[in-house]
This record gives sequence, structure tokens and C-alpha cells, in this order.
Amino acid sequence: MGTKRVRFVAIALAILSVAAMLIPNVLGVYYLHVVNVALVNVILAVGLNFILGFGGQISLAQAAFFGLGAYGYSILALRGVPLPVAAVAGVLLAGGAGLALGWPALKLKGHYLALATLGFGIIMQQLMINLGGLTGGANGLSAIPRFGLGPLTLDSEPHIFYLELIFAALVVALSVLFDRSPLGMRARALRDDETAAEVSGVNIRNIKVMLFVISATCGGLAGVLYSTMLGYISPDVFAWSTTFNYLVMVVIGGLGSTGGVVTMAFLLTLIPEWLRFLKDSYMAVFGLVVIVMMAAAPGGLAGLARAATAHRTRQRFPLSRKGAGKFELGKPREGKVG
Amino acid sequence: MLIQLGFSGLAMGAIYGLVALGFTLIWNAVGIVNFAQGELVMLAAFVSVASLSQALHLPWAVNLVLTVVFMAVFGLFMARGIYHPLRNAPQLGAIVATLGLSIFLKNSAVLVWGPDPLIDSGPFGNATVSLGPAKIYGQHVLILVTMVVLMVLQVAMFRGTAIGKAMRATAQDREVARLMGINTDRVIALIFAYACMLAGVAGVLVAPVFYVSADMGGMVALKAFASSIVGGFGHVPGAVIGGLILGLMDAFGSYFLSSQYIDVISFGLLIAFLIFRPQGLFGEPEMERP
Amino acid sequence: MKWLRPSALALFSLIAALALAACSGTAATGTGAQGGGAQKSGEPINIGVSAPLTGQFAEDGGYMKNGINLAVKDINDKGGINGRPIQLFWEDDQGPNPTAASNAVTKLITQNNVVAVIGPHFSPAMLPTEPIFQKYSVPALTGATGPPITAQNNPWIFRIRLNDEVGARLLVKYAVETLGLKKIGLDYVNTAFGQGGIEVVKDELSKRGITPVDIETHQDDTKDFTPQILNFQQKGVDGIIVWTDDQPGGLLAKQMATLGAKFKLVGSTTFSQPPFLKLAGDAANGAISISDFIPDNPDQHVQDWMKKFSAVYNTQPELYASAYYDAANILAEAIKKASKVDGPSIQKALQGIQNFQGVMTQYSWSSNGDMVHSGLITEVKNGKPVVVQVVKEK
Repeated sequence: MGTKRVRFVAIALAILSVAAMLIPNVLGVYYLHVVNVALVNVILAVGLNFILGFGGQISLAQAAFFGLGAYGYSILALRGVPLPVAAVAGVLLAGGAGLALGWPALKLKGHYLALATLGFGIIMQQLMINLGGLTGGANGLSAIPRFGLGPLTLDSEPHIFYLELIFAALVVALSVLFDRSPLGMRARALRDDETAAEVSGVNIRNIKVMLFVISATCGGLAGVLYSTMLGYISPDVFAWSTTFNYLVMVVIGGLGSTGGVVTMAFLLTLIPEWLRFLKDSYMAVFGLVVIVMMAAAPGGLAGLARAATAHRTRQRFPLSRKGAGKFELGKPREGKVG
Repeated sequence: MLIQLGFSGLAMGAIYGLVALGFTLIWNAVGIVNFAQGELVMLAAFVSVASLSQALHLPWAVNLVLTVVFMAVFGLFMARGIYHPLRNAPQLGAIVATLGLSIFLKNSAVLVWGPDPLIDSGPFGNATVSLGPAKIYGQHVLILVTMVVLMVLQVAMFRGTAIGKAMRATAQDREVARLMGINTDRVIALIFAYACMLAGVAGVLVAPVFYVSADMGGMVALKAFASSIVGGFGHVPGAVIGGLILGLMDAFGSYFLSSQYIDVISFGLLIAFLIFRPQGLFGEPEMERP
Repeated sequence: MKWLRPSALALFSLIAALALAACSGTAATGTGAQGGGAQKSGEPINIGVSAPLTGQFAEDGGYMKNGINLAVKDINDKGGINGRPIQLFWEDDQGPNPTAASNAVTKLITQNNVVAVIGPHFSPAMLPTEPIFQKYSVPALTGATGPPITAQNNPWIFRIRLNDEVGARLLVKYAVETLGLKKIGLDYVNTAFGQGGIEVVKDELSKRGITPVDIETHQDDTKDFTPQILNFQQKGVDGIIVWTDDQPGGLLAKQMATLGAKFKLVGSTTFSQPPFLKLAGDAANGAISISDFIPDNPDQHVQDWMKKFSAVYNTQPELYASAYYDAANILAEAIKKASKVDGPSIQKALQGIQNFQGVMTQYSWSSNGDMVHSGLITEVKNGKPVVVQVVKEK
């Protein structure tokens, strides 16, 4: 990294830190609350981006990992386990599930993987609903202790904001670093052409499992933070249908683009609040917009941004393939004989 | 007792199979998993019951024909608006787009027809046929028969007719098909139209059995996907048989094992199939799929 | 750092700026007043409503709207409360959605400065928002019937329908003592409502020394009840107690009729309500239910309400409209009596409500927040529910 870049990064970080400190004072309680929800969504979406965006594997299980982290933390916390231990346990539980799901998923591709992860999500939600003694059943768990270390407890939206901001920043940083690293390049190779990658010596199996575990761990982390933020969880929060929201955040943000995914996560959390005036028709409009976005801009927001600067890119990389990009959805597929 | 259980299981299974026929067609032709197939059935059911039956009081046969025509037109729009822009994008784009379509249809239905569920008595009303001690709804028999007929039709069409061959050619390699003089765009539009017509028939048949409501498509579509996996994804008779198997399993599983955990069991079976025999019962083992 | 590339950074900054602009503009009005702050006279009284305006339960949200709007219109037409009109703020909580509900309630309290909230209606929406009401000292009136809602030791929560804890026990009492059921099967929808209700049923049965011979579960979108009905028949039940919603209830009754099931159908409120009656048709006859509201209740207050509602909306009122009409009126009564128009004073006034006559029943506050202590046992005869017994909590 040249000194110019280092200075740029330092200035950007300074600006962001100041902004971060100002935000709780500028925003009212309600909007801060919405921002806190958005930060949880950022962690979930950026986490999903690892397996979906970098790895190109269709996982519809993110809501299940979200739930495992949340229930893991909440069940232990309510039973008096020290909160930091409970939090770590929740995250590890989700990560472990990612490992358990990752291995069998190695041989599944495309829609098969999608359906398998979807099935996993449904099974998890059913267990949350039915194992009443453990999970509180459909009524969920209330009065979940807010996360705290010793005498330092978080009991207000600003405190929660800071906690979530730190973790969100960590996850985003991880994502950016991964993207630029050789590991990230190998993951993208896997996404773009699995056979070619394997032939080139990329260890497909390890990367797939690793990406699954990372995504699951981020999901679990988001679950712990959500539980501490709201103090209440129920199976309704972790329905497989909510996975769709994170899918949209990643795909429309731009697969593999951290910035795009973060942007979409914020937008998708804030827009429903802004659009409350649409009331009855909000969800219908949402569905329509998703269709239009997929049809018009398959590369998502990041793809649009890239296209906008394509000219400059071409100046810097005159030999690159036109239309090739990091944010595309992978290889096209063909139909099958009927 | 077992006969009754068996028949109700077969009836539900026939519904899964009917829905599966529709998206199997789309998958075979263009390689898209249509996550909105259940909502297409719901759309057809609403059009049939709310608009044609309750508002205009049309006789059942006319109702069926008009609904199917409506769905065919919708299919043409779907081909142009959803498939066409995504024809070169891989599965994830299509999955997200069809999921978006399902959400759009589900919520638009509530806006257009209101949130109340609708009932319709269908051509048989509550008439039942007795098979020994078991009572079987006439409507269920109609569904089973229709499903078999449509399945045979679909297989015959792909093998025997010119349009079927054109569809297979388009599916195998769109560029080459076009070079050979096949109007691939039109063929694909026809495929979507027909798949929607299948959904239309399903919607009209199923409306008297369930109730028509905006969320009727959800679980049925999921079970239909599972049926396809069990039967062999893309295998037409397999989808239908998979549906019947799943329906029987739901019925017998609820009775003998547990109605509380039946979904866990069904989807557990799905995952087991995916891990150990992804090609299902009748499919071919897959080579590398892009 | 590609995410710091000018284009992405510009886009992100633009979004952030817009967001901050939108938020900051209204933040000024959000801070300062701690939701429920006292308001000057002549000014409108802000009341919030959290209801399922979209989603699976939009139908119920629509009924709630009818009831509340009618009540508020009547009050405002008469000059409001002590000369001040009521201003309603509606927020969509999408039904049993904890995140949406907490957003909706937070917005109502901190942005719209409401002095009280009607709703949310569902347990998974009430439970996470109860701490919010307590934190900001804003009373909430809800028609949710799940027992945990008034078991949280929260003095800001007021329930304006019969607690399932009480209702389920009264139903079991009727089933065992009046109907004489001995071999009982249970069936419930696997949601907070169903689980909560059936737990109370099980407990009451065990207090009477009865163990259910079969317990079945279903989802809101279950379509085929054949296996469950066959199980009940095979185990020889003489009646089943069912805690569920309209659609599964209707399908269950219909399929019971087709399969020639001879056992009694006894269950939660849905078995006396119009959606179930419409969906089950003739098969609804004979169904018993514990209910709060049916149109054929000979009580004069109910009959007057029927006429009034029909005159305005051209249709009969049902349970949600009636319950929330009463909720709005109870709240108005409390605001009228309160020493000041702010959350804590209204809460005190609500606690003082005894024998308030509504269109559904009489409301009296009790220490856990429940305000309804009686219900109706109904049976469907000739397609209509008829009151068989009025039951009261001891």
C-alpha cells in the first residue's frame, strides 16, 4: 500500500469515527433503533456474501444461523451462564452448524444446494417452534439479559449502537481484506468456474467449507447482537422467508462487493421505515422492484457503479475483457433436455 | 382406515405433482427454478373463483377455459419480462427474480381481491365416492385423473410433436437451435405460457379443496420442489411420482409418527435424498452442472 | 481498497447524507418530549395504534381499523375529550413480527409522542414491546389473549379481551361438566396462540384427573386433517378441544363431516366467528366455542352495537372491530378521568376502571392488567352461533 492510500484510509477512518460518535446524538431514539437493526442486517448480509458472493454457492440457510446464534446466547444467558460465555457459545454454535452443513453440501451445486439449505432452514425453525421446554416455543424468549462485561452493561440504544458498530466494522474489514487476499482470489475462481479452479490447484473443498463456516459465524454473531438489542426472540424472526431479504441485499448489492452489500443492507432496513406511507402496498412494490432490479441490473448496485466508472477502468486495464467483472453472478447455465 | 389415509395422501400428492409438472417444464426448457410456481397457482385460483365464479357466475367449464387463457397470456408476459432479461444470467439471478415475483403476486392478490379467504364448491360440491369404508371426494378423483392425463400429454408432447422437439433443441443449445432456424424466443414464450396454463388448471382444480387465499401457494410449492428432487429433478413422470410419494408420506407420517414433527421429517427426507441420491429415483446422475 | 473507490464511496456518502438528513429533520421533534409528555389543552391528543396493516393478518388489521375509527369519530364529533380531539397515528406491525412491532411502537412513542397505544395484537409483537412501554411510561391496550402477556409484572399493559388462561379453563369446565366428555383429544395450531392455549387446557384437564388420549398439531397452512381425524377416531375420543385459527378450523370441521366423525368439536374463539362459519358451511353445526362476541348475543348492548355498526359500514361487526371499538372507548374514558393528559396519569385512570360497559362486555381492571373476566360459551345451530352459557371467572 502506497503512502497515498494509507493517508486516504486514515482520513476515511477518522471521518467515520467522528460520524460514529455524533450519530447517537443527532438521531432520535427511533431512528437510532432502526440504525441498530440495520447494523445487525449488515453483519448478516456481509456474512452471507462470503459463501454467496465470494464463493458463488447458493445458501438459503442464513436465517437458520441467525437463529442458532440468537437462541444459543439467549438460552444460556437466561439460565445464568456468564454473558460473555453465552455470547461466544452462541456464535460457536452457529459456526459449528456451518461446519456440519458445509461438509455434506460439498457435492451439491446450484439449485440442489439451494433446496438443501432451505430444508435445513425449515427444519431449524420447526425445532425452534416445537422444542418448547428449551426454546420457549412459539412464544419465544423474553427478558433476555443485555450483553455486558462485569459492571459495564448496555442499557440504551447508543450503547448498543457502539457495540454493534464495532462488530459490524470488524466483519466489513474482514470482508474487504478477504476480497483482496489471495484466498479471496481463489474463492472467486471457485465461483466463476469450479472445474477450472480445481484443475489449477485450488482446494475447492476446503474453501467451500471455510466460506460456509464464516457465513454461519457471522450469522451467529448477528443473532447474539439481535437478542441483546431487542431482549426478545421468537421463531418468527428466523423464518426461512427472512433469508430472502439477505439474499436480496447480497445479490442486488452486488455479489462479492462489500460496499454494495453494506449499502443494500442499510437501504433495505431504512426504506421500509421511510415508505411506511405506502402501507398496504409496500411488500408488493418490494417484490416488483426486486424483479426489475434483477432484470435491469444483474450485477447489482456494485455492477452499476462499476459500469459508471468503466471508462476509467478501461483506461487503467486496457487489456481486460469487456464486460468481465467481479460482480457478476458467475457462469451462465444452459437448459436441459426435456 | 388405511385406504382413507392412502387416498387423502394421494390426493395431496396429486396436487404437489400437478404443481411440479409446471416448473419441471420450465426447468427442462430454460434451466430456471421457478420459485413463483405456487403463486401462479394462487393467481389462477383467485382469477377463477373471485372474478369468474363469484363476480360473473360463469359455468365451470367456461371458467376453466378462461382461466387457462388468462394464465397463458400471463405466461407470455413472464417470458418477456422475467426470463428474457435473465436468459444469460445463472441460477442465482433467476432464483431471486422468481422469489421477487412470488412476493409481488402474493401481496398484489391481497390488494386486488382483499385478505379474506374464498370458498368455492367446484363442480362436485362435497360429493364423495365410497370405496369400502373410505370416502373420497369427487374433486380429489378429478385432480388425480387430470394429473395423469397432463403428465402423459407432457411426455408425449416433448417426444412426439414438432414443437416439442423444437423445445428440446432450444433447451439443449439455444444458439445452435437458432442457427438451425428455430425461433427460440417464440418457443420459450410458448413454454412459459404452457407452464402457466398448467398452473391455471391446478388453481381451478385445487380451489374447492383448500380455500383460496394469498398464502396458499407457499408450502405447496415447497413440497412440489421436494417432490421433484425425490422423483428426479427434470423428470416429468418422476415429479408426479415424487409428489404422490411425498403426499403419502405426509399422510402416513402424520398418522403413525407425529403430526407435530411432520415437516421436519419431510424436509429431513429431502435433505437425505439430496445428499445420498441427488438424482432422485428416476433421474440420471448428474455430471458437472454449470 | 475497492470499497473506498470513488464511485462506491460517493454512493455510500450520498445515501448516508440522505439518511441523516431525513432523520435529523424529524429528530428535533423526537427528542425533548419523553413519549407521553403532557400536552397543552385544545391541542389534539395523540394516540397510537399498532396493527397488522399488511401481511398475512391484514384482514384482522382492517377490522381493527373499522372499530377504532368509528369510536374516535364518534368521540371527536362530540367535541373530543375535554374539548380536545383525538388524533390517531397508525403504524404497521405486520402481525406476529417482533422486529416490525418494536419499530412501530418505538416510532409511535418517540416520534409521534403518543400518550397511549392501542395494540399490538399478537403475542410475539406484545412481548418484545412490553419493556418499551414500561421504559417510556406509556400505557398499552391489547386484545391479544396469550397468557404470558399479563404475566410479565408490567403495570403498563392492559388487556381488553378474555385471557386464554381463564377462557381455556372455562371451556374445559364446560366440556367436562356440562358435555360430560371423558375421552378427550387435543389439537392445536403450532403458534404462540395455539401453544399457549393448549398448555392451559392440558393443565386444567390434569387438575380434573383427565389425560388427553391423543394430542395433534397443525400449522396455519395445513390442508389435510385426515390423519389427525383418523387418529382421534381410532383412539375413540368422544370430543376434541381445538385451539386454532379460522382456516384450519374450517377445514378441520369440513373434513370431520366428510369422514363421518362423531365426536364433539370444542374450541377457541374462532369456532364462533364469521370466517369459520363461512368456510365450514354446514359442517360448522354443533361446534362449541369460548367466545367474546357473537352477533346473536341477545344482550341489548350487543344488539345496539350491531345496528350502529351496520348503519356506518353496511356489514355486521365481528370480534376485532368490537373489541377495539371498546378499547378506544375505554382509553377515552380513562383520558377523560385522568388528572393530566400524559402516560402515567392515564395509566392510573385505567387502573381505576371498574364495570365500564362496552359493546362486548363489562371491563374491570384487575391487578395483572386483565380487564375482562367473563365470556360466552356458544354452539353453532343452523349455521349461526348461539349463546349457550355465560361463564364468569371466579
